[in-house]
Amino acid sequence: MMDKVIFGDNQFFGVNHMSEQTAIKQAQKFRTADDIYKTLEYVNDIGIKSFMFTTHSQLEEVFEKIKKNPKFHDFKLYPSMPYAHKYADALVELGPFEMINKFTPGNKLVSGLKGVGSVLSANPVPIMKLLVDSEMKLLKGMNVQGIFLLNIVTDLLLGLEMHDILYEFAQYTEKKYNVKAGFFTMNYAKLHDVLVNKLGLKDPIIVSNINKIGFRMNPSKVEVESILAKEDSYNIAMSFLASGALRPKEAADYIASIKGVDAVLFGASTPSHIKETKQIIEEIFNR
Amino acid sequence: MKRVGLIGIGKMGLSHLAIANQTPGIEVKAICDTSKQLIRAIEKNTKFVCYTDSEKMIKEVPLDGVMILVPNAYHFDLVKYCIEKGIHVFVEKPFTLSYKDSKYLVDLAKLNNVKGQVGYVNRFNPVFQRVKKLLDHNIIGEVSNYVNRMTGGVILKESSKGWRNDYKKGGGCLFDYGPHCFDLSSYFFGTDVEVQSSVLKKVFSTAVDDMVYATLLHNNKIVGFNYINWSDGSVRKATNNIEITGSKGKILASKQELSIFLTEANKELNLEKGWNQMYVTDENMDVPYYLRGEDFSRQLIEFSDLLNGKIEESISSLYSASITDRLLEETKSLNKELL
Repeated sequence: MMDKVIFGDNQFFGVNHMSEQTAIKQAQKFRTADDIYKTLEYVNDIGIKSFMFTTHSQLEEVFEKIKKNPKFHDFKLYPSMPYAHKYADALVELGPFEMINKFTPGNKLVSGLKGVGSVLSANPVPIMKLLVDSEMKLLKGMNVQGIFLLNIVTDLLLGLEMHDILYEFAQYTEKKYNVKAGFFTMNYAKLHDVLVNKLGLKDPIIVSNINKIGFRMNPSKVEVESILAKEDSYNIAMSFLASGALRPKEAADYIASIKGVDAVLFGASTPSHIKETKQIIEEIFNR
Repeated sequence: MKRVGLIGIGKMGLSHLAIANQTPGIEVKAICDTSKQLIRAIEKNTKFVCYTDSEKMIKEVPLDGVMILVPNAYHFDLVKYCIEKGIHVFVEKPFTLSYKDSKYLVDLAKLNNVKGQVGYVNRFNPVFQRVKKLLDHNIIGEVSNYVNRMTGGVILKESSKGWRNDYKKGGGCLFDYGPHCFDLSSYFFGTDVEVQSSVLKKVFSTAVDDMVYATLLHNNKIVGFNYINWSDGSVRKATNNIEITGSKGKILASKQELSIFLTEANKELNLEKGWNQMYVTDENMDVPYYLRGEDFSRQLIEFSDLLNGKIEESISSLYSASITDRLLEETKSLNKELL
């Protein structure tokens, strides 16, 4: 069972889907690891106990501080991987072979095999496991409660119909790390169909955009709503404020009015916004 | 259902493959790449029929359309081959490496009744499409001038190696970013355009330009300043910004945001006198499948519509792309020396 309120990390790294200017302003607030740490400390203090983030190397220093502070003992981490810009851009830039070469240099497992190409051609699953392990090193000894696959990869595999890897990913996180897998997607309806109907995963965790104006609810708001209502997956709403296009009250009223949303992932950069949004989300689930 | 083949599963190819595979109205029948390793991997892990020889693929598999996603230098030969076989084409930008070649292919396609589309993805951005509509309806009056900027952080340190530092291999900011910038200018202001002046300047590269200043004149009437820079470390990813000035107002637009200034209110469009702000979230962005942004999905929906006869010509046609190639050539030749 996950918390209803999950804190995200877009604001730390200058990501805003609606405005480049907003992204720049937010990024200015978080120049150092200490800026990020202080915000997470506030988040933890006011009782938000779940943090979902991309495995950005800048967070390494932040986690070192968190490890040392006992008040974070019940703070749960949900890493999302692979960090999109690190791997996916490299995939686009360099192509699949050079990308793997770049990120696994000197790795004994890979170099022990006959070239990366043969590994991939035989089976991409070992590569997937290798990348998960490499990302998880950052979080050794920390309270990881779930491992999430970012939408750039989930949706690429979905598009290419490489569904087995989604299945293998879910198996691997449970077997090796004893936590459930989660999937970010911009294609909720398609992914739900694959995970639930084709792969037979029970209550898979899916993170997708869910908001009143239907921003990035593909293929359509109506279709997403009807599948959410089936309640046979664990659904986390992101962009519930549609990157700022909605007022908090109307955004919350919408989430409360539809069936099937189990938790809300949000990001904000100022203490007052964080607190306010937390209260709004809690109120949704208390209705 | 129209049958499609893809040639070149590299940089852009993989994401095009995923998107094409999920686009209604088309079915990916075969793919081709010269890398045997890659093809073996794809063949083992996906349902796609694979080839390493594109002519063999085209001979053996009945196809309605081919997507050409190979390095720029090979565009001409492959597009020509497909057109001669009567197969419709989608080709990544730029169309070819010279205006002469592009113009030849435009005529050849017409002669063979073949339809074509070039991968100028900005034309499928909902905000830019909105801007185009506003301009077509003269919402800001008669346009006199514009400033079109495209900046990004591709080359951020001293570099003398790699294809990006070699004009022969399609390197340089003008040939990498320039096509997108110029194509957007001719999308908004028309293909009756010529370059008036240009300056190419190095920043970090040793043999190619890192920034471009070019003045364009459309219809002998609209003057446009195009500023292109791939050595700007302040931007997270390639960014397009355009400022358009008309007799009744002004438009500022990027891929995500649109500001409109009007000297008089426009009741029909619900626009106030003064500044009006619009966001990408105001547009209907639903796509059947999303991978790298709606623009890429919408681009292939257009190709599907072209193959299925739902539209006669793509908004990113071979012709408009050939004009972009001409603008690149004019910019290069007007520049006296690489500063």
